[in-house]
Amino acid sequence: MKKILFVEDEQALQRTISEALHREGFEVLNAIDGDSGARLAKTEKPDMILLDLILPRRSGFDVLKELKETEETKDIPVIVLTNLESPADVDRAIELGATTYLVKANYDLSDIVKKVKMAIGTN
Amino acid sequence: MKQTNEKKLGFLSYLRSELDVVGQCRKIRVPLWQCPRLLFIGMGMVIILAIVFTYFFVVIRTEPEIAALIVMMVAGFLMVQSYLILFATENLAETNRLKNEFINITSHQLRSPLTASKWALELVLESAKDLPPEAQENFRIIEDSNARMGKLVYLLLQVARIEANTLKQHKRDVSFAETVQATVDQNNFFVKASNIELEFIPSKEDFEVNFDPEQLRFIIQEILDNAIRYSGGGKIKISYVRANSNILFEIKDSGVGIPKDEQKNIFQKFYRGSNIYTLSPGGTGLSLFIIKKMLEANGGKIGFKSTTGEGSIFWFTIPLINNSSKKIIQNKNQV
Repeated sequence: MKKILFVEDEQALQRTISEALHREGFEVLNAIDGDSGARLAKTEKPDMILLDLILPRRSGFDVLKELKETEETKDIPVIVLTNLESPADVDRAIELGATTYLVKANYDLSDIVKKVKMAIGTN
Repeated sequence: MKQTNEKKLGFLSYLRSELDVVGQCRKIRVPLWQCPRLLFIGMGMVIILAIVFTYFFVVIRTEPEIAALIVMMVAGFLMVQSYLILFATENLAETNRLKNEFINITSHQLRSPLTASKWALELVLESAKDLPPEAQENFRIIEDSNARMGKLVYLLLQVARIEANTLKQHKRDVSFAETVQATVDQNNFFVKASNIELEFIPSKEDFEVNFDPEQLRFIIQEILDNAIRYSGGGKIKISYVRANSNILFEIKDSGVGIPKDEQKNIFQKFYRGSNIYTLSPGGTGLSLFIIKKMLEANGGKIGFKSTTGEGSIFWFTIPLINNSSKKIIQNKNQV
């Protein structure tokens, strides 16, 4: 079973995405802030990470930077899932190594699941 | 000749509005004593008067101390006025900062719960097949309302961004043909349900434009949506062709048309024609305003011809990439 880490501080979003991914047979780990997200990524080594950018304690950008600079997490694909949509934010996340950048409000839940499957190679 | 007159009238009205200092000050919503335009005129007058007064004073009296005192007084007065201008500018900058903050809050805090409810509903609907039809219908109502609220937030956000000059564009090379085809396909159900005969003439060529794909979809979708909504049955014809270095998209409907005296207002925000309320009471009057700004930000144009009771033709242009980028495609409708 493929393991996905979802770093998101909003419970409602966390619950819906986790359930949708469960239904598709993924194991989902949840982190509600940047610190725990980075820690779980290192200890659990998930197959993929869904990362929000506005997070308590540490921003998603910082987490992404750390993940990509750390030997054991640098190859894990990271999908940024946020409502920030300025070109500067997109460029910054892609430069830091994000695989895909998705603006939450622009996608249905089924689209997000498809993107996850594509990124993880189970489509 | 008509065009020259129109240009002259346009210039005169521009001049009139520029000279209406009080009106301009009210527009930026600062008190008159802080209004940069009025203070600028005041400073100019003080400088001129000071020079003239000093000249005559020195001609009559020759004491350099008096002349120096006058210059110092004028300098002091100008400093006070400069401070007022600085104060007003800082106020405007602060207002702008607050506006940007509002946009950020709207985009994040308002859209997050909307997204959460949309996604939660998607999950519910997936497993709602066994529920009674009435319950399913109620869920559909929630879904529709959520989608409408999401769209309204999107529209208001775009307006706020346009007004703050921060309209975001993630430009890339986009196939125009594919975007139009996808939008038409997506609206097939709505077209049939509205009892409309849709004629779509795709070009034999595909055209690539450098545009934000989401915004291009939005533009075509909203123009088509307007045509469907305000046609009240009847016919719609969509076509697009190359026109010099641009792509020219046209949509013709046989709808209610726009009354002549209202046509000048059609691209103003929140404006809705007086004859469309019964056809679509829920519209916002924002789409055409946003579309115009999105097109203009990319070197495009939009216009229309309309006759009440006969229908309208809306058109827009977008510059083609490198003036000539095109390729032959096998189009769906030609298979």
